[in-house]
Amino acid sequence: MLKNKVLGIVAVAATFLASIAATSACFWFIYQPEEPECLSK
Amino acid sequence: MERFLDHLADTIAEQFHYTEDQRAVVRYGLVALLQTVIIFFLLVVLGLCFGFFPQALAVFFSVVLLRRQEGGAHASSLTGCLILSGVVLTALAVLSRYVLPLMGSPMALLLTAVLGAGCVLVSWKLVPVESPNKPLRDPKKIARLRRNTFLLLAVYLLLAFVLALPEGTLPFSSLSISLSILSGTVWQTFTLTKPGRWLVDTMENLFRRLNRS
Repeated sequence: MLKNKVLGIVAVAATFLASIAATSACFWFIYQPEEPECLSK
Repeated sequence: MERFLDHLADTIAEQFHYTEDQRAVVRYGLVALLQTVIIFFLLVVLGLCFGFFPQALAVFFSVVLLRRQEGGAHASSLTGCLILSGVVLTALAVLSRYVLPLMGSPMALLLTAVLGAGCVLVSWKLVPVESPNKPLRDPKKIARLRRNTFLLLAVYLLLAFVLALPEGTLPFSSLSISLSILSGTVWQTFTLTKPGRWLVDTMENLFRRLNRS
Protein backbone atom coordinates (compact mmCIF):
# COMPACT_ATOMS: atom_id res chain seq x y z
CA MET A 1 0.00 0.00 0.00
CA LEU A 2 2.75 2.43 0.96
CA LYS A 3 4.68 1.38 -2.12
CA ASN A 4 1.62 2.14 -4.25
CA LYS A 5 1.22 5.56 -2.65
CA VAL A 6 4.88 6.45 -3.15
CA LEU A 7 4.85 5.24 -6.76
CA GLY A 8 1.64 7.17 -7.32
CA ILE A 9 3.13 10.39 -5.98
CA VAL A 10 6.26 9.92 -8.08
CA ALA A 11 4.14 9.20 -11.18
CA VAL A 12 2.03 12.32 -10.64
CA ALA A 13 5.08 14.50 -10.03
CA ALA A 14 6.87 13.10 -13.09
CA THR A 15 3.81 13.57 -15.32
CA PHE A 16 3.34 17.12 -14.04
CA LEU A 17 6.96 18.04 -14.72
CA ALA A 18 6.80 16.40 -18.15
CA SER A 19 3.78 18.52 -19.07
CA ILE A 20 5.56 21.68 -17.88
CA ALA A 21 8.64 20.73 -19.89
CA ALA A 22 6.47 20.16 -22.97
CA THR A 23 5.47 23.84 -22.99
CA SER A 24 9.07 25.00 -22.49
CA ALA A 25 12.02 25.44 -24.86
CA CYS A 26 13.78 22.64 -22.96
CA PHE A 27 14.34 21.15 -19.52
CA TRP A 28 15.53 23.63 -16.93
CA PHE A 29 18.98 22.10 -16.61
CA ILE A 30 21.50 21.23 -19.27
CA TYR A 31 20.34 17.75 -20.20
CA GLN A 32 17.49 17.30 -22.65
CA PRO A 33 16.30 13.74 -23.30
CA GLU A 34 14.24 12.98 -26.39
CA GLU A 35 10.72 14.27 -25.91
CA PRO A 36 7.94 11.68 -26.38
CA GLU A 37 5.91 12.37 -29.53
CA CYS A 38 2.65 12.39 -27.64
CA LEU A 39 3.87 15.42 -25.65
CA SER A 40 4.95 17.45 -28.65
CA LYS A 41 1.53 17.15 -30.31
CA MET B 1 21.24 6.42 -13.53
CA GLU B 2 19.39 6.01 -16.84
CA ARG B 3 18.84 2.31 -16.05
CA PHE B 4 17.41 3.21 -12.64
CA LEU B 5 14.98 5.62 -14.28
CA ASP B 6 14.00 2.99 -16.87
CA HIS B 7 13.35 0.50 -14.08
CA LEU B 8 11.31 3.01 -12.08
CA ALA B 9 9.25 3.97 -15.14
CA ASP B 10 8.64 0.26 -15.86
CA THR B 11 7.57 -0.34 -12.26
CA ILE B 12 5.15 2.58 -12.33
CA ALA B 13 3.76 1.56 -15.72
CA GLU B 14 3.21 -2.00 -14.51
CA GLN B 15 1.65 -0.92 -11.23
CA PHE B 16 -0.88 1.46 -12.81
CA HIS B 17 -1.34 -0.33 -16.15
CA TYR B 18 -0.02 2.55 -18.23
CA THR B 19 0.09 2.54 -22.01
CA GLU B 20 3.42 2.90 -23.78
CA ASP B 21 2.79 6.62 -24.30
CA GLN B 22 2.01 7.15 -20.62
CA ARG B 23 5.12 5.21 -19.64
CA ALA B 24 7.21 7.37 -21.98
CA VAL B 25 5.78 10.56 -20.44
CA VAL B 26 6.55 9.33 -16.91
CA ARG B 27 10.07 8.31 -17.96
CA TYR B 28 10.60 11.78 -19.47
CA GLY B 29 9.26 13.48 -16.34
CA LEU B 30 11.45 11.34 -14.07
CA VAL B 31 14.55 12.87 -15.66
CA ALA B 32 13.23 16.34 -14.85
CA LEU B 33 12.31 15.25 -11.33
CA LEU B 34 15.71 13.70 -10.66
CA GLN B 35 17.62 16.69 -12.03
CA THR B 36 15.56 19.13 -10.00
CA VAL B 37 15.70 17.19 -6.73
CA ILE B 38 19.43 16.46 -6.88
CA ILE B 39 20.60 19.91 -7.91
CA PHE B 40 18.21 21.75 -5.58
CA PHE B 41 19.15 19.46 -2.68
CA LEU B 42 22.85 19.99 -3.38
CA LEU B 43 22.46 23.77 -3.45
CA VAL B 44 20.35 23.79 -0.28
CA VAL B 45 22.75 21.59 1.69
CA LEU B 46 25.92 23.38 0.56
CA GLY B 47 24.24 26.75 0.88
CA LEU B 48 23.14 26.10 4.45
CA CYS B 49 26.50 24.61 5.44
CA PHE B 50 28.63 27.36 3.94
CA GLY B 51 26.41 30.38 4.36
CA PHE B 52 25.25 31.10 0.81
CA PHE B 53 21.73 29.69 0.90
CA PRO B 54 19.84 32.84 -0.25
CA GLN B 55 22.35 33.36 -3.06
CA ALA B 56 22.02 29.68 -4.08
CA LEU B 57 18.25 30.06 -4.31
CA ALA B 58 18.56 33.27 -6.31
CA VAL B 59 20.97 31.66 -8.81
CA PHE B 60 18.86 28.49 -9.03
CA PHE B 61 15.59 30.24 -9.81
CA SER B 62 17.10 32.84 -12.11
CA VAL B 63 18.72 30.12 -14.25
CA VAL B 64 15.85 27.62 -14.14
CA LEU B 65 13.01 29.97 -15.01
CA LEU B 66 14.95 31.65 -17.80
CA ARG B 67 16.22 28.41 -19.29
CA ARG B 68 12.67 27.11 -19.66
CA GLN B 69 11.95 29.93 -22.05
CA GLU B 70 15.31 30.32 -23.77
CA GLY B 71 16.78 26.84 -24.19
CA GLY B 72 20.55 26.66 -24.56
CA ALA B 73 23.55 24.33 -24.61
CA HIS B 74 23.05 20.78 -23.40
CA ALA B 75 25.24 18.09 -21.90
CA SER B 76 25.17 14.74 -23.66
CA SER B 77 24.35 12.75 -20.52
CA LEU B 78 22.27 13.08 -17.37
CA THR B 79 25.32 12.58 -15.16
CA GLY B 80 27.25 15.24 -17.07
CA CYS B 81 24.35 17.62 -16.61
CA LEU B 82 24.08 16.99 -12.87
CA ILE B 83 27.79 17.49 -12.29
CA LEU B 84 28.08 20.53 -14.51
CA SER B 85 24.95 22.23 -13.22
CA GLY B 86 25.87 21.47 -9.63
CA VAL B 87 29.38 22.85 -10.02
CA VAL B 88 28.43 25.95 -12.00
CA LEU B 89 25.42 26.98 -9.91
CA THR B 90 27.33 26.43 -6.67
CA ALA B 91 30.29 28.43 -7.98
CA LEU B 92 28.03 31.30 -9.05
CA ALA B 93 26.33 31.34 -5.63
CA VAL B 94 29.65 31.28 -3.76
CA LEU B 95 31.11 34.04 -5.95
CA SER B 96 27.98 36.14 -5.51
CA ARG B 97 28.13 35.75 -1.76
CA TYR B 98 31.83 36.16 -1.00
CA VAL B 99 33.66 37.69 -3.93
CA LEU B 100 31.54 39.80 -6.26
CA PRO B 101 30.05 42.11 -3.57
CA LEU B 102 33.58 43.41 -2.94
CA MET B 103 33.20 45.50 -6.09
CA GLY B 104 30.68 47.75 -4.36
CA SER B 105 27.33 49.14 -5.37
CA PRO B 106 28.36 51.62 -8.15
CA MET B 107 30.30 48.97 -10.05
CA ALA B 108 27.50 46.44 -9.54
CA LEU B 109 24.98 48.91 -10.97
CA LEU B 110 27.19 49.55 -13.99
CA LEU B 111 27.72 45.81 -14.53
CA THR B 112 24.00 45.18 -14.26
CA ALA B 113 23.32 47.80 -16.92
CA VAL B 114 26.08 46.68 -19.29
CA LEU B 115 25.71 42.91 -18.88
CA GLY B 116 21.95 43.23 -18.81
CA ALA B 117 21.98 45.04 -22.15
CA GLY B 118 24.27 42.32 -23.48
CA CYS B 119 21.90 39.59 -22.31
CA VAL B 120 18.94 41.30 -23.95
CA LEU B 121 20.84 41.68 -27.26
CA VAL B 122 22.04 38.08 -27.29
CA SER B 123 18.58 36.81 -26.38
CA TRP B 124 16.98 38.99 -29.08
CA LYS B 125 19.24 37.40 -31.66
CA LEU B 126 19.17 33.77 -30.52
CA VAL B 127 16.15 32.91 -28.39
CA PRO B 128 14.73 30.29 -28.33
CA VAL B 129 17.60 27.85 -28.86
CA GLU B 130 16.23 24.42 -29.62
CA SER B 131 17.75 21.05 -28.83
CA PRO B 132 17.90 18.15 -31.33
CA ASN B 133 15.87 16.13 -28.82
CA LYS B 134 13.21 18.81 -28.57
CA PRO B 135 12.84 20.69 -31.85
CA LEU B 136 10.75 23.86 -31.85
CA ARG B 137 8.45 24.02 -34.87
CA ASP B 138 5.31 25.88 -33.79
CA PRO B 139 5.67 29.63 -34.59
CA LYS B 140 3.12 30.49 -31.87
CA LYS B 141 5.16 28.60 -29.28
CA ILE B 142 8.37 30.29 -30.44
CA ALA B 143 6.70 33.71 -30.19
CA ARG B 144 5.43 32.89 -26.70
CA LEU B 145 8.87 31.73 -25.55
CA ARG B 146 10.45 34.91 -26.86
CA ARG B 147 7.84 37.09 -25.20
CA ASN B 148 8.27 35.28 -21.87
CA THR B 149 12.07 35.54 -22.16
CA PHE B 150 12.00 39.32 -22.43
CA LEU B 151 9.42 39.62 -19.67
CA LEU B 152 11.62 37.54 -17.37
CA LEU B 153 14.77 39.45 -18.37
CA ALA B 154 13.00 42.73 -17.59
CA VAL B 155 11.96 41.47 -14.14
CA TYR B 156 15.40 40.02 -13.35
CA LEU B 157 17.37 43.07 -14.47
CA LEU B 158 15.05 45.48 -12.68
CA LEU B 159 15.30 43.41 -9.50
CA ALA B 160 19.09 43.14 -9.80
CA PHE B 161 19.38 46.89 -10.35
CA VAL B 162 17.10 47.82 -7.46
CA LEU B 163 18.81 45.42 -5.05
CA ALA B 164 22.23 46.79 -6.04
CA LEU B 165 21.34 50.37 -5.06
CA PRO B 166 23.41 51.72 -2.17
CA GLU B 167 22.14 50.92 1.32
CA GLY B 168 19.70 53.50 2.56
CA THR B 169 18.38 54.40 -0.90
CA LEU B 170 15.51 51.96 -0.47
CA PRO B 171 14.24 50.06 2.59
CA PHE B 172 15.80 46.89 1.18
CA SER B 173 19.03 46.18 -0.65
CA SER B 174 21.23 43.18 -1.10
CA LEU B 175 24.26 43.38 -3.30
CA SER B 176 24.92 39.64 -3.13
CA ILE B 177 21.36 38.68 -4.16
CA SER B 178 21.51 41.25 -6.96
CA LEU B 179 24.75 39.73 -8.19
CA SER B 180 23.32 36.20 -7.82
CA ILE B 181 20.44 37.12 -10.11
CA LEU B 182 22.80 38.83 -12.56
CA SER B 183 25.32 35.99 -12.63
CA GLY B 184 22.57 33.40 -13.13
CA THR B 185 21.12 35.46 -15.98
CA VAL B 186 24.51 35.98 -17.61
CA TRP B 187 25.42 32.29 -17.32
CA GLN B 188 22.11 31.20 -18.85
CA THR B 189 22.47 33.73 -21.68
CA PHE B 190 26.04 32.56 -22.27
CA THR B 191 24.81 28.99 -22.81
CA LEU B 192 22.78 30.26 -25.78
CA THR B 193 25.96 31.17 -27.69
CA LYS B 194 28.54 29.08 -29.56
CA PRO B 195 31.27 29.79 -26.97
CA GLY B 196 28.77 28.71 -24.31
CA ARG B 197 28.11 25.45 -26.12
CA TRP B 198 31.85 24.92 -26.49
CA LEU B 199 32.40 25.52 -22.77
CA VAL B 200 29.64 23.08 -21.77
CA ASP B 201 31.09 20.40 -24.10
CA THR B 202 34.63 21.02 -22.84
CA MET B 203 33.64 20.89 -19.18
CA GLU B 204 31.65 17.72 -19.74
CA ASN B 205 34.62 16.07 -21.50
CA LEU B 206 36.90 17.15 -18.65
CA PHE B 207 34.63 15.61 -16.02
CA ARG B 208 34.37 12.45 -18.08
CA ARG B 209 38.18 12.18 -18.28
CA LEU B 210 38.56 12.87 -14.57
CA ASN B 211 35.96 10.21 -13.85
CA ARG B 212 37.84 7.64 -15.93
CA SER B 213 41.26 8.34 -14.38
